[in-house]
Amino acid sequence: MDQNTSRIDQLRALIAGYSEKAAAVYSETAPEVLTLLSTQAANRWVEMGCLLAEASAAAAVKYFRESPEILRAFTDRANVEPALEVGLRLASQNYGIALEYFRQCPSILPKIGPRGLWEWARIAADLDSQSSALGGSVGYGTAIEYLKSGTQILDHLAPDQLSNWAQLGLVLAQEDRKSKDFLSLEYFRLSPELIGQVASRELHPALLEIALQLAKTSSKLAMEFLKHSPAILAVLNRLQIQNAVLAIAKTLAEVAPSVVPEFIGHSVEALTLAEGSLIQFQQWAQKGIAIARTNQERAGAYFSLKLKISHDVLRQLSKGVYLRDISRMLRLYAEGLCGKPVEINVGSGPTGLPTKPEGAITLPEKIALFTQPEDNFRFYKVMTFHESGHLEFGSYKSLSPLIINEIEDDMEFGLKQALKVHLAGTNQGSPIAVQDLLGQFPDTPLARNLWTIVEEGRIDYLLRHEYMGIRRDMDFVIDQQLKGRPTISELPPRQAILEALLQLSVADTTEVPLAIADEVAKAYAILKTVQHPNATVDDSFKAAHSLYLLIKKYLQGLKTEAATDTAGPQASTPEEDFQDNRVDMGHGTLDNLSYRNPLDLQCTSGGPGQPANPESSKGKTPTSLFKEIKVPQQSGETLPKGDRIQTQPALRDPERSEPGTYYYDEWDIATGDYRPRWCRLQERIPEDVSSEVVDRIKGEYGAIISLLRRYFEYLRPEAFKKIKKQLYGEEIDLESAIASFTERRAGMSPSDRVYTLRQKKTRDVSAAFLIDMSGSTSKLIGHSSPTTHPSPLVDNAKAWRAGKRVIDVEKEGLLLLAEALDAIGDEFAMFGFSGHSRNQVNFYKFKDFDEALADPARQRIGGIQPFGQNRDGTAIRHVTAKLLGRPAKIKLLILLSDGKPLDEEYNGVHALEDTRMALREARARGIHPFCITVDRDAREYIQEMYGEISYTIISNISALPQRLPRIYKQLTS
Amino acid sequence: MSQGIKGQEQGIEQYRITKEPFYLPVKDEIHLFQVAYKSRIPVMLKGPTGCGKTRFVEHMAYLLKVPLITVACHEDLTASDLVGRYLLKGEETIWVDGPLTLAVKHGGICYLDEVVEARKDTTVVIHPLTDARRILPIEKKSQIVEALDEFMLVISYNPGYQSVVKDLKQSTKQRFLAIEFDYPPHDLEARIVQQESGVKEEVARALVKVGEKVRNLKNHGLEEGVSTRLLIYAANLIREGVDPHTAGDVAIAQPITDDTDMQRSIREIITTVF
Repeated sequence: MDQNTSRIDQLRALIAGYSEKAAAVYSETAPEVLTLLSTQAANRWVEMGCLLAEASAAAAVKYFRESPEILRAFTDRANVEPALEVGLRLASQNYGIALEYFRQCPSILPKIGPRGLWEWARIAADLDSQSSALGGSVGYGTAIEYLKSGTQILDHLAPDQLSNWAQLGLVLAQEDRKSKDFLSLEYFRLSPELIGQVASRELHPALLEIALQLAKTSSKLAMEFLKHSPAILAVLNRLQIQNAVLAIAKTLAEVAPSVVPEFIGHSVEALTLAEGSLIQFQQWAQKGIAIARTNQERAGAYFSLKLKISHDVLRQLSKGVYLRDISRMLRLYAEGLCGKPVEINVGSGPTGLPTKPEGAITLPEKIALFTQPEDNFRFYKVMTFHESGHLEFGSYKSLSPLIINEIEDDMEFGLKQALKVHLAGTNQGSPIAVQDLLGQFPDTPLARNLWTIVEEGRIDYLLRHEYMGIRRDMDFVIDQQLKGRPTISELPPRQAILEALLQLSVADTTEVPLAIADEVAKAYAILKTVQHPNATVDDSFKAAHSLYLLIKKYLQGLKTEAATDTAGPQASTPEEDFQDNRVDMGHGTLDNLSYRNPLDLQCTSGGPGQPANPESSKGKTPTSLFKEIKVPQQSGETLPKGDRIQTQPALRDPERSEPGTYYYDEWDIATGDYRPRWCRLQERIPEDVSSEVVDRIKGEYGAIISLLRRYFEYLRPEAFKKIKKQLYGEEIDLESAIASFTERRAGMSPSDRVYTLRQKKTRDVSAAFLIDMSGSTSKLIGHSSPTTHPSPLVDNAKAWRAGKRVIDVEKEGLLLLAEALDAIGDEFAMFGFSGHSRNQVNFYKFKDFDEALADPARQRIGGIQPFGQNRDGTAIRHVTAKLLGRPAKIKLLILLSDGKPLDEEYNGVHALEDTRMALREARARGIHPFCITVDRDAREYIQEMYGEISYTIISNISALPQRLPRIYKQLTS
Repeated sequence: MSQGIKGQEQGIEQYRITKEPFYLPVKDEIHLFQVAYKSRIPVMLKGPTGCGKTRFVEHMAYLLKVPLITVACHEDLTASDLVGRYLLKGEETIWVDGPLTLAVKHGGICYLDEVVEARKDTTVVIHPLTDARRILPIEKKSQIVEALDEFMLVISYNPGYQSVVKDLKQSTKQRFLAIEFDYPPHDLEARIVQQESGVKEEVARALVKVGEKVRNLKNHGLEEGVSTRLLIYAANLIREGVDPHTAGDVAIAQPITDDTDMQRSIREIITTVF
């Protein structure tokens, strides 16, 4: 004890030499410490204290005060001495770090062992010296953060990765020095948690390596990567995929570091698009890396899936088939087969639209059920084929009125009653909608399901009978479909019977539990009655009715059995019983085979000789389901505006066209196909208005007009031109005649083209101008207020212009142009368009091709008023059709617009793409479209809208009147 | 069968049809044609390409026992090509009758196929032949030839496919009786395909079914439906052992359209039927 005390005192004196305060603390804790340490270690301990005290008394005080606790924490005290050895080396460099080092020693030692200590400490020292340039406290902070998180990181990281992890911190710290940033601090603080999120240690090396590589370019990039990748790796879930993603990221980090975040950020999405196939994903990424080697920016867009080619590559790699690639083809296929207009909609197949117009086929966006694209296509084909079968073989036809008499004797009481009420309101002998009848069955769901099974079976049978070639494909699809069906024996009785029938309707064999075997056999026989080449929808209905009776009887039998077993009273009517027992019987709706769209009974065809349904349904009793079902269809999405019947009586029958009404398709970019007969265009001739506007413009531009006329008259070609070497003509072409004689003399066969022909020479140009008259053209030009009426005294051009609207300037332009065109003698027409919704595109004829330029035409142009919206595509298509009827060789379509196309359900990409498609159609038919826009902001969208079509933007709209004739001249000369 | 019309041989006899060409009447066109011939009224055959117009004329020429001179009209066909011209023979020029003159002089049916394709000046020589005058002015010889009673002018015209510019003028149209042709009904067309190609009935029927389905696509992107002639070609290929899918592709899908979507749709229709 004494020995100890004297030793403590001796050493105290040593410490006191540096700091009295530290010595005092030492005296307090030394007795305990010395009992914990060997003599060697104790000496080192004091040595370290002295070193600290020498640099900072405060540090030494902390050191001595915390020492007992720290030392107690050492699991193996033999390690204290080597730890202090390292501490001493550190302390000579930086006391603060040495202290923190000592604090962390007990927790880190078990993880790295005494041998690892120096390496660990050295990094701290490096960090400190690296970042000391930022100011002592910062560098210190980074190193401290490093030491503190070291123990945490080792909870996650394998010890051999520690140096890599620290290395990254070092690189970041170096970077911080340059950028005066604190990313390394952040790194050490956050990385244990971030890396901790990546559960699999196998991934850590790659993760750190990538971050390190990125840090060489930018610390921010590295941090960004570390922050975001763990969450994404967690979503990727499978180690194989995670490894693959990191491997790609690693390559990218070398090739194009800036692209890595885009890649990581979109990897999940891309993988989904690649149908979860790692190989496809990797191939996609390889293409991206190839791009990255030449163009990093493009690669960024590629990996963030913003580039079209990126999707194209995925699609090409895909084994799935996309509807948009084949929707037009499928539509033509279906139209060819059934001979009726068909519309292909995107939807999720069986759960598609609740109501659909006749001829609508809903198909999924993509089919990737099979590994081979051809097989996926077969699925699409069979789906389309099956639907066109419904159209071809009249699934949507109404039933013959005689059908009720035919089945009347067998009808159950409830149905009879319901029908009696239902039919009271209808005309005797008018056809009946299937839906209507099914709705009257007491157990409507059962009736509907049976009807579906029977009718689908009939269609499939007829299709197989009529089309030999499809059998292969249908067998293939049905085979696949049956694999996914529920096992019949596991279903409740009601569903079991339905399921058995459904399977039998396509496959002819299935495993049926003994309990229902008899019933199914009977039902199957009924099912077979509609499977002959002449079966009609009436036969289907009769069969469905027989099945209904059969199955209901069977189910009620079951119910009675159950009731007698439990000795329950039988008070209620059978119907109600049946309802009560629904759950037991299994009343779930039957999932049809997914190659079949839901057989939509609500869409009945309105073929000729068949009274329109709304009329025949008048005066129905409220009990009828008919009304409830029909009404939503009337106002459903197939007919766009609910109020259109009131406001536009003429529109009630869209097929009945009044003169001057035209229908045009519209391009739908979403499906990659046209919406057939989508827009209705009405031609109108505006009324003549007063000549005031024209007079004013003539007054203002009088001089320019006469100049223009003179100039354009000068361009007018000679009236006649002599063409030589003709087979026939007015005069002999001497030159060729002599040549011909010479040839004859020479024994050759002479040319018989020896005449000159005076041919009328025209410019042979037909130009159509199409003006967007939408409401937006009423915008004022410039800043002045529209209300001031210019006094005649200050009536100069400038004052006028200040109050002018876009449309006014367009008018001036058109009038000037009209004069110029008249002078040059070209055939031209001027049209305008506006409107609202696809049912009401107004097309105004200001001057038609055959009309001479006279005052009425001028006044119509002068009277143009802005109104409504603009559906450019439809108007362009109409002008195209008009131009095609002109005999001129050169056909010009000049579109003058003031902004983006915009109409009801016609905006954004859809509108731009449709306009573009309309222009392309025009071009494909030999018309030269040219677009002039006065929208200064047009640059954003114009490239997309006009694409390869030539266009010009006039940013100074006031110049339009003079520019227009000049543009025209350039276009035609 | 008719041979080259510009040959030096002037004999009309070579234009006589000796073997009965196969033709199945759809309606009463045979009777109508016979009446028109008897009444010396020119006839215009309207209808899509490849539906049997030419075959019908051949058949009629055989039934009426008159020679048939067929001229396939094209853009460069002038009046002289129809009427005749002077040709040089050594140091002298000799007059050679054109096909129209030949038919007018010797009696026979002159059939101008796709007449709208010809140059406008051809109408000048057609008009006086198609009214009560029935004369052919030969300008270069300053002659007027009156047609024999056995002469008949028949033109064919497809209102569907030509451009608006090439429509026949009313003044021309209104000089003819018009017999409208369309693709034959299913059973008839199947018999025709079967007869012409020698395939089995099922194959012929299937081909006709493809034809009908494809014709549904007219105006949905197809200019013209598939002709009976093409169906017969396809049948010929199948008879010779070509796989029906390939035969349909090369004889139906490829010839009638260049639109790849359309071609694929047609191919799918073919594989659906075969």
